[in-house]
Amino acid sequence: MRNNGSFEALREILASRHVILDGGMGTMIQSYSLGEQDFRDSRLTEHPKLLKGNNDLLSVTRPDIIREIHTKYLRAGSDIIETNTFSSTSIAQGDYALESLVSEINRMSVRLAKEAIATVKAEQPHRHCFVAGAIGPTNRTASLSPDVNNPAFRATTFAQLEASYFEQAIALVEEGADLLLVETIFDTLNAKAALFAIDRCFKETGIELPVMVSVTITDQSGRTLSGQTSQAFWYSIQHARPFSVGINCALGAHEMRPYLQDLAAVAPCYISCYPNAGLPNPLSATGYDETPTDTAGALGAIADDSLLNIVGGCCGTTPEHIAAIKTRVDGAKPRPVGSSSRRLTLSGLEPLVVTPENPFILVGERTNVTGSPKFRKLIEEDKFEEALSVARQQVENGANIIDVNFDEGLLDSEACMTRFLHLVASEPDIARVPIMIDSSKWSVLEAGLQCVQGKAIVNSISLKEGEEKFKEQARAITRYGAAMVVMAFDEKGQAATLSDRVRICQRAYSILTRDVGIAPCDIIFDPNVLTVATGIEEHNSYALDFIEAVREIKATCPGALTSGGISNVSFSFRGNNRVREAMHAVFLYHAIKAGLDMGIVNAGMLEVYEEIDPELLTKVEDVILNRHAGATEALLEIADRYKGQASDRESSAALEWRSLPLAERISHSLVKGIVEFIEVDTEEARQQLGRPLAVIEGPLMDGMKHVGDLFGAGKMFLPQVVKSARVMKRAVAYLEPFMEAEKEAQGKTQEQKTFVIATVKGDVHDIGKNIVGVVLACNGYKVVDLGVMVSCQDIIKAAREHRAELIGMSGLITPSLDEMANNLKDFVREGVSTPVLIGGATTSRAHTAIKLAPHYSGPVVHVADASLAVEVCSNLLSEERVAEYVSDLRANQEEQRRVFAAGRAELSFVPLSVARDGRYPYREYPIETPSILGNHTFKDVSVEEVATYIDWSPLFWTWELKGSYPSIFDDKKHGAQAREIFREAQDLLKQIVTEKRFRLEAVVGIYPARGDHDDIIIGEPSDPSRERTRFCFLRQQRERAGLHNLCLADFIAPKERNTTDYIGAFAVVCHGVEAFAKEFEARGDDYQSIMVKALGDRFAEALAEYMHKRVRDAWGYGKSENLAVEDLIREEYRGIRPAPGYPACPDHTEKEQLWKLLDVEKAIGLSLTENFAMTPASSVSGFYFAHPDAKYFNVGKIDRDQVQDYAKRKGMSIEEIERWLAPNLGY
Amino acid sequence: MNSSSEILSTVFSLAMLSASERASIDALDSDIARSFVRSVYRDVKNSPLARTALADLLRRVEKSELPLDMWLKDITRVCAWLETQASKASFADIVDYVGCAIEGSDLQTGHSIEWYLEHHGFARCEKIATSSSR
Repeated sequence: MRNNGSFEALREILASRHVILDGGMGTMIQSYSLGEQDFRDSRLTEHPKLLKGNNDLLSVTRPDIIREIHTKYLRAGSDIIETNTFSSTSIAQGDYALESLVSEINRMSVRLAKEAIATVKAEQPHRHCFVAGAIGPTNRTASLSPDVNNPAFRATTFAQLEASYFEQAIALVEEGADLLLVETIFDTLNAKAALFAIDRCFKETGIELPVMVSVTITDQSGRTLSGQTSQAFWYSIQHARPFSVGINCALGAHEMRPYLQDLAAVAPCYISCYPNAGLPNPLSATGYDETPTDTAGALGAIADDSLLNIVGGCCGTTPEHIAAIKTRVDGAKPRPVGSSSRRLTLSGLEPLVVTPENPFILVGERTNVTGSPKFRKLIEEDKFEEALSVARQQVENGANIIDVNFDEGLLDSEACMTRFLHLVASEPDIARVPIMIDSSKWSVLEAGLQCVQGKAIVNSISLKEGEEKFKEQARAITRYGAAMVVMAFDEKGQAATLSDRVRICQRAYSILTRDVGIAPCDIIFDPNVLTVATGIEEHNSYALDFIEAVREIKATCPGALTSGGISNVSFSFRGNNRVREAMHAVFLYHAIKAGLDMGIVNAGMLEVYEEIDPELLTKVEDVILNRHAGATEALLEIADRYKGQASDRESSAALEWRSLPLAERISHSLVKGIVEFIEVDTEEARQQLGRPLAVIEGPLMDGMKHVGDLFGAGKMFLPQVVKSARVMKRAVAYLEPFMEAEKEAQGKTQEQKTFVIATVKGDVHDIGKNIVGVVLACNGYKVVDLGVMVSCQDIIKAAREHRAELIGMSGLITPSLDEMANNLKDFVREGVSTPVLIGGATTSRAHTAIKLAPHYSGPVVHVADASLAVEVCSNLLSEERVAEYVSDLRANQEEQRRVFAAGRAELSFVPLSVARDGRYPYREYPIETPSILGNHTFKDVSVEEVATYIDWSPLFWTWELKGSYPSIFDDKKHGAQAREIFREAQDLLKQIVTEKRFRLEAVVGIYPARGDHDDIIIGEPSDPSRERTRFCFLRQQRERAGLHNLCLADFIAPKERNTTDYIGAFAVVCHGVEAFAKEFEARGDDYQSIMVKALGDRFAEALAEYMHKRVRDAWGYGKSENLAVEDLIREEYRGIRPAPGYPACPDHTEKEQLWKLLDVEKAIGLSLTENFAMTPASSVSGFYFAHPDAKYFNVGKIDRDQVQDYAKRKGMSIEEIERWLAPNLGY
Repeated sequence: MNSSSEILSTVFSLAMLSASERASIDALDSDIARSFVRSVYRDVKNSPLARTALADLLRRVEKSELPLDMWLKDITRVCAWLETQASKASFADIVDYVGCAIEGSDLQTGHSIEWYLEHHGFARCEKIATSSSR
């Protein structure tokens, strides 16, 4: 292979000073204020895509500009100028449909750079300048899915990237670039493809050039976009032996420093740095934050510490920046280049280095279809996401690497390997460790290598097919940057004796290090762990031979490592886990002493050598070390004794806590939600302490306080707290008879604080209220839950009867806000001044301050979610804190009222007539005629089918876990809990389906419709012009500065057009929820009760989605849809389904018309409360609008004239309308 | 650099846009474009996951009742808030958040984007931790 002298020339310069790169090209191009015409030449006049912004194209269409920019940088002092080819791959140019110009753009760009150098060389003959062929990252990621709902998907493959990079590299090299620069790397797998292509290019052209590699660290997490740390990145690309490695773009020099230090600590090559000039700043002279002096100063400070060799600038930098940098680093000592490490270095997202401090590496073996029946079953059932849990468990149990194997006859091993590794890449908790790609087939190994951005290990290759094949595969593995396991196989077969094992490994070592040039630390010998105690005498020494082979290989193959598949040794005892684990422990103990570096094991199922039963240990050791002829028989004799037992470690760990002191046992049960032992322990506590109340106030409350503390600290989550409550309830229920007896005997009054809570009259929603009740009960409050639709009088009565210290009111629908205000007024009239807590989706801090608190003499506190309730109650009941707390509360509420009043003064409305003039202009479109008109009822809709439409995200929100499905499973804080909830919900779902617990019913209707200002007239199906009824809607009325004042009626053809339009209506319900939930409540299981209700709500929403789809199909416009459930959840379909009470139609009373039109109560047994809440609660109702422009909006505040007009249209009094629309009143 | 198209093209590929989408960008106030670009620059520039981000954003805007400039202002505000929290979020998640806030909000008083951030936080953001490589 020849080079053009660049290596030597650059090294000579770098020996004495820093080499200067150029600065930003994009920034410079922008200063020319180019137009679309500058991006087109005669060939591109009719090109269909807009081309402005495709800066690389300027090399062809405006070469003068590019040449001029290069010349400016060279005159400013750049030693290396980068070609204008950042996006010159077929993949990136695909956005502009200019793939055919890729070669020309690259070649022309090199020519322009060389011309600029020639110009400057003529001016300054002493200068030796270089052209770096710039290779950008493209606009695709090989390691990340662009679709959050499909983590296995990739927008590009390694092969596609490699081909695209190859095309670019060939053009750059053949045209005469002096070096290549793979830059702005955000995905290491992309970079590996580029380096692979460059290597291929060098081989094909016979030319080798220096290759610079530069990564982009995106923020102060210190990681690339694809999640690697800078050191992990280095280990991934070090195989390419780059001339330099460094960091560019995204950050300024100062922010890059720590990551440059990390790289400099491990990379035995030159270090480069070309930062941005800060962030874009339109107010600055340069358009970026940093002036030339700033950037030069920051880089210079790093250079002064001898951390750098090559410096320059990226986005925002100019020739002035480069000149300043050159001046600033002049005289600074370049970094001396170190030597390569002799240690095995690997990487996932994070690095793994085998060091004396970390002498033995565990390779998790369970993600192997031949070794793990559980894993195989999951893969065969296509449950790849669940199979990830096997990998996760291995990492959590201490595996430093995970071995992945899909060699099974009936599986498409390549496809499985690719898919699984893609999924692993989306799981940072798993992907942080390196991967061992395990297969006997080369095609599968290669498929795996093309999926991992880290430095992997290939398991395995051997001399089985001869030396040439062995070398070919070793070279290929090296080109992918991986290390390799070499088995002790040769052309004659598997080595079974000690001498054969050593001989083959030594031969392989010589071939790989001498002929192929592989570093010893990248070679891992596996001298074959074979099964002992088979009954065949020749097999008895297999384990000892392996141990001795390891010893000899380590001595005679310096630098190479050793490994083995440990569980092979114990195959004779399959089914007897105790004995197998003991054999693994003993085998490892001796093999590690002999020098074994890594072992493929079931991490998490490793027995501790010292804890093996002594008799078993002796017998096992006799077998492993082949100490006497009868060792196998002796072990067999005692093996059956251990069969069926869990290991000492396992069983002791599971119930180890039972040996803790009583108080700790009770605490453990509460924290872990374990009910099995709580009654026994509670009785023991009662015996010890003498009084049942002492048990509650002592160890039980201490335990729940610990739960509360963990919950408050974010270490426990709501569902766990509710499970803890289940345990507490069981304990208290056990003690109740004893407490009753004691009360009777002693006449003791209660000592717990009491909290009376209710959902207000007319409202049926209670999930949030139930959760607050549970949380407070866990914290020692006596909770009296009055249920739903509770009248004010009942609340007052209960508060008096139970001598409540606190009252809670909950409501979901907007009329409940009014109820709360009225209740507070009644409380005052009745002389109640107990502190009140307000909660529910429709409430807010602002509303509480403005509309509720002024009506009441006692404190009124808004509680946004359950986790805050405890602190609020504690403050209100604390003698020390209450005065200050209430004073602060009232001051805040006063401030909110003041702000509101000031804001309201600024509210500007337009008259209703003007708002109507500002309506959304009706746009004609071809109106489909529905195939069905009138009402249609659907009974017993398939629960299984509707379940597939469920949007799971709100289920997690119910439990106050923030995040969306399915990405919440990846959430570092909530992921594990979210998975548990999801699993439990799925179990409950199965029960619901098999036992037919829920019954889904729906009634829908489609009717002829015409718009009449803000009303929609419903016609008869047989006579559209005849008015059957009408719906009244409200219009946005505030000044909207150029925006329309929307009303839902705008999306129906106005009656003046004489066009028959249509509107739909629907009501859906999930029956059976209350009854099922009550069963759990009766058993004291709040958790399952809440889960049932949450699932009921999910089913109602899913049924609404399902029916909407069916209606769209029947209507006609849905037939051309091709949407997945996720797309339906994201409302990617045409049209909307607004519900009365929601922002676009805030008036709940319109439900009355809806109920009449659809005859809802008769059709599906869904009724309305006096405040128009739907009961049963798991239900949805609304309208269907089909217009393509129909959108959701917020009516917002309205003025008095519209209220008057609306009251007239509705035939109701203004006072009534003001009551129902209280939140919307702007006066 | 004058027009909003030129400003946005420093971080987004405008080749993905239709003629009407480019027109809506050209109609944008350039100061709003600059603030927006400045706030998303680091997270979006060169990120291939942002390749279709602008086109996706414009499609969301088309379906909503608020114009593009109000969306961009709110996105900028969310980015500023994330910075005060030493946190980051993907561009797509920021757009989702703003979309949700817009759908739930009253236009002039009450629930501004700052109100949502103050009262509800930003669930999908993550703290920017220091590198674990040291």
